Amino acid sequence: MSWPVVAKRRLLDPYRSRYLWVVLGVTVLLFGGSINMVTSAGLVSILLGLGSLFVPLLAIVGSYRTIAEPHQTGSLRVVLSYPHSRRDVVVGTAVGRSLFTGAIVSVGFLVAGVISLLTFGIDSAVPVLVVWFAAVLFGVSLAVLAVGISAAARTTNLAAIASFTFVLLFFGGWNLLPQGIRYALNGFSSPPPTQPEWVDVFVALNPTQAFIHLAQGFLPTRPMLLEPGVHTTAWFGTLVLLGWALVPLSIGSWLFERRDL
Amino acid sequence: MAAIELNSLRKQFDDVVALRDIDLTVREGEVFGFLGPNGAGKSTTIDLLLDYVRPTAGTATVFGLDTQQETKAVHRRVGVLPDAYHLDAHLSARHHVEFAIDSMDAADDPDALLDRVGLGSVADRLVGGFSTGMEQRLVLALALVGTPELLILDEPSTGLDPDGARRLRTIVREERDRGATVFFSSHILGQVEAVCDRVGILVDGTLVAEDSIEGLQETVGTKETLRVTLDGHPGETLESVRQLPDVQNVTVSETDGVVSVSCPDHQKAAVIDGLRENGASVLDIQTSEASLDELFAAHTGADG
Repeated sequence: MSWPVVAKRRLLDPYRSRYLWVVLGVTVLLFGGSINMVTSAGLVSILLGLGSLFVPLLAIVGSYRTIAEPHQTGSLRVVLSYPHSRRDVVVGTAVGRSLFTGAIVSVGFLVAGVISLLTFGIDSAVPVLVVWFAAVLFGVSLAVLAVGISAAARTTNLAAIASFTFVLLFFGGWNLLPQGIRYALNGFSSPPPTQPEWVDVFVALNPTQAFIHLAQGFLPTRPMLLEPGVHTTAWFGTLVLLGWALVPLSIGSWLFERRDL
Repeated sequence: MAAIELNSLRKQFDDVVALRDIDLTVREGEVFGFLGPNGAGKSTTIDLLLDYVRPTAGTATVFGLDTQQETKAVHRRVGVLPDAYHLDAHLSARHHVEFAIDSMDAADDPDALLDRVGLGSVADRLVGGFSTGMEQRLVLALALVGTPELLILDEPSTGLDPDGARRLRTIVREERDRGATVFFSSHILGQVEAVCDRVGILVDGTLVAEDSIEGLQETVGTKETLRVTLDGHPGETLESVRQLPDVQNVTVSETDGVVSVSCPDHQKAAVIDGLRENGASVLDIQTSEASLDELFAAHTGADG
């Protein structure tokens, strides 16, 4: 197995390209600034909000180029001249980007944790830790998804278009899809007002929703968007995040392994 | 065992056939020059050896290992200078060499490798500021990592200055002397002529010749080039000379009117007689052995 060599290079890339300092600066400002403005009661929702907006951008926008670009420029022609299989390159890239994304998310929550400890006291430690844990999983899931998209795409442009589509979906487009589907199924006219059950399950498949459910599963207060059910549990959320990581990665890797460089 | 063996290797891209059933054997320990004009299919052949592209039909093996089934085992034994590569601008020369050393699981000294290609003084500079020739030197150093048994160099002299080209020749000879096989493609004949034991000539996806340089000269029959200086313009006598059997590449220099002709020994007298048909006198005759240039032109139909 030679993917650790690739993972190490991909992990060091942000540091070596100085991109790391930009991301760190934005992260510290965003988390520090946001936590500074809330009250103790609003802590959990601001943390979930930060996670829902910041993590998809960090993970997907930061990772969608990682295979498609070196493929397109010819950088992979050097990397693959060594004894790395194409799968090693995909797995190594996914691991490297996951570690990077997880580390940046952790820095954000460290800043948030320190500030909330100083302002709200020791009681705020548990919610910060729980949301941090969920956000790291969320970030890893989407970073792996983005690497999968990157491996599947023939060009950097295609990878960009696909990635931004996913970002928009996860930011809310996903939750509107059931309305569109119901409208279409109803012969392109307004469907009846009572929602069928599958709509809630569908919404719970949004990784952003899965992240929220995962965090809320471990918190005493549970402000629910959806009616509680199996699909709003923490383990369901974990499975959804796993699915969003592994399915695109497998498809991307499969396509990438069979393609002429 | 052969270092490289291609069996009826065929590659079709959409509607273009890049390689037409190539058979080729490169022996262990030799320096093999893979010649051909642009677009002949040289890089496609190398890409197939490296499993960068997959054959439409046929097989390729390296030291008996199938390049598609045993790709990693092949790459452990091969050092590559690929075509159309890109180096990461934010990494230094040393970063690239270190990644190669980690990847090959080798114990090379990055500084020694970079010194060998003449980049010792810029080891820690970012590759983003490198010229084409410097990048080419760096990728040559990358190919040498892990003392591979086979070096595959795709147009290695591209962008090299005279010092770089000399180092390249030295390195190729040093690598052969330690027992490595060297396979390199080029459209620049001087490079090939200087270091190759054998050459193959690829034209339009077909291997038209595979032999030693001497052997190729024999088969083509253009053993020598005759340069004849006349006291007048040869005129239509050129046409009758062109009609002679085994005579090729009949040209007249624009500047001094010297006629040059590639022909085998037994046709020399006939060529001279032909040129004097119109009463022109021969002032001077020079002969020289056919260079690969002329061989190449004879094979590829390009103008000598």
